[in-house]
Amino acid sequence: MKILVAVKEVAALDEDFELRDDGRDVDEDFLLYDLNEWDDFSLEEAMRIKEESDTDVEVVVVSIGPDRIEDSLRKCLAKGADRAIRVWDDSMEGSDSITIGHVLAAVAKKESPNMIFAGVQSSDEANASTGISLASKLGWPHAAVVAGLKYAANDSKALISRELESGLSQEVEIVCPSVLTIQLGINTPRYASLRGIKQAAKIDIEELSPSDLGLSDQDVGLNSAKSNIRRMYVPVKGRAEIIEGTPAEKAAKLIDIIKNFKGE
Amino acid sequence: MSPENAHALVKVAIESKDIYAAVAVYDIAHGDDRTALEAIFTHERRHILKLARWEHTPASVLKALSKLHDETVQLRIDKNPSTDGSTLEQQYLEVGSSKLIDLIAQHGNASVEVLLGIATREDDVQIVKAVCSNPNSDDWILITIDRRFKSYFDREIAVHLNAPSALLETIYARGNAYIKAAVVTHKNCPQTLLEKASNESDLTILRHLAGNENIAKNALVRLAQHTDPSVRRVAASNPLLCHSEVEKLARDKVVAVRRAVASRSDLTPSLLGYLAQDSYHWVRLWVARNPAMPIDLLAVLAQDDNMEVRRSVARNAECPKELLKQLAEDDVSWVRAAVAYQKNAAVDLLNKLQDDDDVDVLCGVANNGHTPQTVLQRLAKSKNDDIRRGIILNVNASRKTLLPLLQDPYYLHRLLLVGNKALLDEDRWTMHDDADPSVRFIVFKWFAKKFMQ
Repeated sequence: MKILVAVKEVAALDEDFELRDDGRDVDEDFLLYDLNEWDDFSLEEAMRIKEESDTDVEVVVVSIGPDRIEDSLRKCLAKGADRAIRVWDDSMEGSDSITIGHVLAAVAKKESPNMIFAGVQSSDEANASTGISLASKLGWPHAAVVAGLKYAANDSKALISRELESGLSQEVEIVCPSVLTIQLGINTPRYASLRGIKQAAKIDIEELSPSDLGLSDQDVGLNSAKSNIRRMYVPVKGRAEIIEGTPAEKAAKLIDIIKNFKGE
Repeated sequence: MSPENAHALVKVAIESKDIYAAVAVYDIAHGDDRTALEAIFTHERRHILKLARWEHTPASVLKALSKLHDETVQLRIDKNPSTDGSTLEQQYLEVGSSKLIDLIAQHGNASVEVLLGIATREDDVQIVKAVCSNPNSDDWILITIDRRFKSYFDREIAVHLNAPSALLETIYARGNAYIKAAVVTHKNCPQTLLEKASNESDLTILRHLAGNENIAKNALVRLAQHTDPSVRRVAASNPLLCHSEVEKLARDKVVAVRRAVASRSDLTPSLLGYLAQDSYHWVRLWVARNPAMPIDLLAVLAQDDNMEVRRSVARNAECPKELLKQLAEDDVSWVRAAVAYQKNAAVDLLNKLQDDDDVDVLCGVANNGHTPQTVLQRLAKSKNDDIRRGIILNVNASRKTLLPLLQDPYYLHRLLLVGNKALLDEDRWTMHDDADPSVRFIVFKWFAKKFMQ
């Protein structure tokens, strides 16, 4: 039994950032990198299934990106993942989220997992499309925004609870193998133990290039991208007012604003 | 083995090439060692940017970074609360950008000289306002600003702690009700103004006046008898209010007033008894916390229908052991948790509470200085972060209890342990190559501080 968990190292903006000269992204010096928050929950869900299972369950994490993403993959290994795969070569620069899904599908074909988890979305790009495009490429059933999961290793079906608008939940039975995109809050992700961190530092991360997966240069990067970023910019700020005055004056003005807002 | 002296510590930091170790020992390094450390933390611009913003970066490192003349870095340095006055002064003398001057004007370490310079020369109202709001601005700076800008900054000056009495009088005379209210709250507000204000009719002014602890007692009595409940409420909180008026306000028809009375620390046992029967639970809750509450009344409140009132009894510093025993059996875990945190809780009670299944209760047991070490050692194995943190923060936790927690998966716990007095230097040093940068920084900083003494 194998669970493949697709993870991403996301970038968070530091304050006072500067854009790159080409105006299409933030200067990398101003970015702080970490494992995508949703992926932490996906990995924990896979670890829960592994730890509750009587049979062997292998948890494999996979990510696409340059050398620096190894920090995030090691974080997953420190939390208990058995193996980590990194896919990259320079031809992949500029790949859009659909292409990423297709590359992950190629990894899935190679690994033959019984289940694939991904985060609902990444915190930096928020396309929410990687898991779904992966499922589409594989032709597997999928479910998005999974907030609850009843599934044990080797089950032929999983019972999932999906989070919908207005606090509504939807219970879905899905045939396995399938691709699930996991929502925040489905579990409580663990911290990596110091022992786990030390052990993870010694584990080799498997490195694959597109050609190792049977993909050509035309299948990845800008060549395959159906969308590309034209520019990144800070929009003109909306209406905001700093309330001035003494503390009592500010409180009175605030009360007026609230009353006005409520139509009193 | 932990380093024996400052030089050995600096050598380890240099060999590690770790920017966090490097900045932690920078203050104790000299000559070539300093240069080597600078080379580590200025090697990449992203590190420089990160350190310029990080609130724990030592002032000496920020000073070194300020010499790099990178405007984005300068902005971060001027925003950083650790930047010292001399670096800010240097920045002020060297740069002309109004954005940087604005940040310097707001900075908590800006010197009086720099602030006076800005107050004297700058015309930008945002920058001058920042000087007016800076706690380091002294009376002369505020007078200077008032002379230059007349009444424009009255609001800021009225609430500034260093505003002198004479200036407050001027501002009061020309101010609106809000400004007058701010002036009568001020510790430097002269008696003449307080007397004058007591004859005002505006409720905002009177409400603020009622809270001033320098007000004449008869004026305070008048305010305690005011028709407006918000004025009576503030008067009820004023420690100067005489006992007879407090007694009257304890019977006020407005709950907010009675609640303010109940929160006073100088209530007599008879008044505490009266308020203990109040129909509003917030009033009972306040008196249940009062250490002067007679034991028999505390026992009554321990059976209150409202759980917050029972919890207040359990938190009362004078709550007797028998009542704690009773509250330890409470159906509500929030009440039992208060017992577990109580400094009067006996060992047998804590031994019993260690088997509770509620996290808040177990956190209290873990944190209680009377909990036996054997219990703490068992709780140290808990999977719950809050329970383990309770032990780390327990002032009586022994070295043997704490040692396993040096491997705690939560980095903040390891960080908290660095300064724990129960641990030996050799214990702390095991974390010098920790996976988390902030833990490594604190370890090196701790040893650097030790060698500086």
